[in-house]
Amino acid sequence: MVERQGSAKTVIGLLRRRRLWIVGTIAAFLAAGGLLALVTPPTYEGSALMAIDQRVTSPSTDLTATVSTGQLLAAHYIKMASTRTVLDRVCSDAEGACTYDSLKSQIAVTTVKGTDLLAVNVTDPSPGRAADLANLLAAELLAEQHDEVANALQSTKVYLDDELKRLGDQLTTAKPPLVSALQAQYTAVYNRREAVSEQEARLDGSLYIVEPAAVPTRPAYSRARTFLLSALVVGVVAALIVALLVDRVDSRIYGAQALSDATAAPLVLAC
Amino acid sequence: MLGRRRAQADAGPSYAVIWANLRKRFPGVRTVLITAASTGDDASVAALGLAEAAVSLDDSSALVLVLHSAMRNGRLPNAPGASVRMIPALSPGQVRTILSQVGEEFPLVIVVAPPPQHDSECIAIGRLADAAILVARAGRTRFAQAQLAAERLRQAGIAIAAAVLLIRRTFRGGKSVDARAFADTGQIAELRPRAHMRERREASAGIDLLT
Repeated sequence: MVERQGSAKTVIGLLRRRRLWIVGTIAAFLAAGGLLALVTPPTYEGSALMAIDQRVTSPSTDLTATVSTGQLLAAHYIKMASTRTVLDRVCSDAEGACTYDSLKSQIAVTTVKGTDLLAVNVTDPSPGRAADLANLLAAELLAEQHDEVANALQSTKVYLDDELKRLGDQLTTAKPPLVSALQAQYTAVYNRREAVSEQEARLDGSLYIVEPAAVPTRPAYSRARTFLLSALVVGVVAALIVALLVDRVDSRIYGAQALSDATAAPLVLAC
Repeated sequence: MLGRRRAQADAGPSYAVIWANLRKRFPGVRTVLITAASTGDDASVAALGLAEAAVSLDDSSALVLVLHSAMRNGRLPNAPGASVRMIPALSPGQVRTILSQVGEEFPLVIVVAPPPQHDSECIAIGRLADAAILVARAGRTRFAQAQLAAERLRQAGIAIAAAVLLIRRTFRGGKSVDARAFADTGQIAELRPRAHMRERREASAGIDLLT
């Protein structure tokens, strides 16, 4: 207990002795943080909203399966949004300097909690550019999704189209006993081709833009507060370290015990 | 502010302890050398505190002699009362003369001297004293300086009776709070002639009487 009291006294004494160093260090860090906040431009965030219509992907399945499909699709689109293909396309359409690496650090695509919406967020020092980039990214994401669906069904469509062409050719040259059989086969292939087209249309509509990004009027967050808070925390830690170091190298006497050690006097008193 | 006032009021008992200790360890003590551990320390504050404690405990009077070389910036604190007489800015010769001639009027004579490692006057006068007290200022005196001062006194055969660590400020913001400024040299100089003319006359008469 006595020891603890002694050490507490020492710490308080240290803080009191080095108060100018502590206050000065914290003030210096706060000033640096404030200066940094002043010279750093504010950051704006453009946000476009997209919706995932998971029902059109599998209209016949139950609700649980639909929700699960929706979550998978959301994860798929989030990943797709940060691919080099999509971001390079955005950069090629965007005005001003834009690279894949710089844009990747500016974007954030997230699901809006409790909904089937995707928020496409882009931060930029310019409010107009933030909105433009968000809209471009949403549009490129949509285009990429269309390409993906078209590519997935391309081989089926080609096969069915070839079959229809072959059956059509046979029908024109076929003799009457075979015509009815070929006709039935042609109808079946035609129906399958229609189903593929319908599926493609449904899949294309599974992702769409609900609300394009508007030009933000206010910065997304206050950098001044962040910088000042960080400066305060770092400043307090640095001030304590500085105080400890200064106290360590300072050979001045602050207590009766130190004077007693130095002089070896039989009686030492602080007055 | 209140804390500081309360702390200042606590200085008296500390000096009383030192004086009681001196009386016990050095029976019949008459001359005490008070020396600063470093040039920045003001030993006259401790000298007056000890003189006041001695006067109050023994119901007697005390004489404080301040060597000229021990005066910092020509400033000294005021004598606490009529029973304590202070004569500043003296030469070692004057101190020796006063010590040899001072009578029963002053049962205790305190000599304020500069740091022993900086001025030989301290050692010269210290040999005439019964005991020595080393004064350091908290936050100003360095450990090595205090160590060296104590070592020099011991090497000269001067017994260190006590060490005093001054915590309270005598001078604040470059101006004396409770101090009188002295212009120069051997005799008493005067900062406030009208207000302190009587004190000055008394002190001059004291020197004349003693020398």
